[in-house]
Amino acid sequence: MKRLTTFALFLAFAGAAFAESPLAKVKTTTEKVLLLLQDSKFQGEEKKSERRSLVRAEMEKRFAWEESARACLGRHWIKRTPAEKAEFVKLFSEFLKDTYSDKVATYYGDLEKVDYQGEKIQADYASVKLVLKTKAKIDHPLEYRMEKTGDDWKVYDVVIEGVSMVKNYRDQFDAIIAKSSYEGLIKEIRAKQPTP
Amino acid sequence: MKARIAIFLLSFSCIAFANEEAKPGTQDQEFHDPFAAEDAVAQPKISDPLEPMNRAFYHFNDKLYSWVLRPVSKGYRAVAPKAFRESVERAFANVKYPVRLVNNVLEGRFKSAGIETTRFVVNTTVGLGGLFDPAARWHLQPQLAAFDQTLAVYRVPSGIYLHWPILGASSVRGSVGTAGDIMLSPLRYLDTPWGYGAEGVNKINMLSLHSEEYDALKEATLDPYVALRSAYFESRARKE
Repeated sequence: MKRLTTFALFLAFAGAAFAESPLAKVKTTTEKVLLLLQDSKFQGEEKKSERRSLVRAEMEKRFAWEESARACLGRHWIKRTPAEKAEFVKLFSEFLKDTYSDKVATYYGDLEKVDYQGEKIQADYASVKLVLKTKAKIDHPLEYRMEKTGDDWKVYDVVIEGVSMVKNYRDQFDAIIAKSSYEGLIKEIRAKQPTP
Repeated sequence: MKARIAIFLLSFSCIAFANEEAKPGTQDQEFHDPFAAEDAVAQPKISDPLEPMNRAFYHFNDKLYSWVLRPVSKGYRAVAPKAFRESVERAFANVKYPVRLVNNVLEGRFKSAGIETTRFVVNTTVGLGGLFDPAARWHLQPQLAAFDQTLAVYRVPSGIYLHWPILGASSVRGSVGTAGDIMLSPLRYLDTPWGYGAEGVNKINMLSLHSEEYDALKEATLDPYVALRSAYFESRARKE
């Protein structure tokens, strides 16, 4: 009996310690975003931009877009000056934020259910796996790769159907830099920015 | 029980301890990504010696899509409701059951082959020729298998990257795989004009359901050709 009480006590503590696990963080954000997208206040075409900016803001809390940008530049990162690094992070993290949040806002209509599969923690890094189940009964595997920052866990890479966002951009950047130059890459990213 | 708790506590304190460690001065260095390092081991380097030709075909496909296929699929989308188009997609997938059966068997996945067979029987009868998928409601999920994957199971290397007109991203092994899948597809054994017609309908129907995906890809990438090539090899490597 005593052993059981100790175990129960331990579980309670462990529960408290694990409440903020990477998976729990992903789950909280996902559910908040889904609630926002389903909210009757933000439906319809005329509410589209409001809906998107709310989703963006919510996702910004969970994503380390700056770290993603740094990861996308890969081995070219160390060759840049501090000013260039700052410029790149600002430019490309904005681009990532726009494209990913828009994707979420576009595709949620087909979503039926999110299955949270589990998490794997390696020191300060974690991988959280989910499966998005669509209304057409198709499963889309999704993985969030996260980094610990202080007490929080933030996403730096999303692996959609086995394709890592960071790796994909890294390959594109490698190709563009090899063919033209770093400056050429910056020019191409600027050309992608939506005209205000 | 005690031992288990001790191990659990120990591992937990290890995690806690690891978190205590200060991170090295990060901002100056390349981003350290332990999971990407794991992936890199599993993935061979991409070889694309025919890039100029592949890029030419990619541009051909891109134009074919923008000028012909997208307008046609948009027109089709306007007249055919989504539920109908999804049914057509399911029916085409159902007809290609022999591809999945043979490849599941070749890969030694007999249980999957059995599930596919049950799905085919149920969906062809109760599901009205595959237009509906009642099997999925009974927790019989599709067990996808194709010849490219089978060759990978037998350790055939993927070879160089090939981007074909109309068919798109592939590799040497992938092309052999596609040829094998076509041989197993019952649509091939229709009289030629009907066969091409059926494939055409399949393609337009598929595009009407998935054209946003290609548009999104183009919007989200800086070099869509490289993005497709990289995604092709990465998603293949994960399936192997």
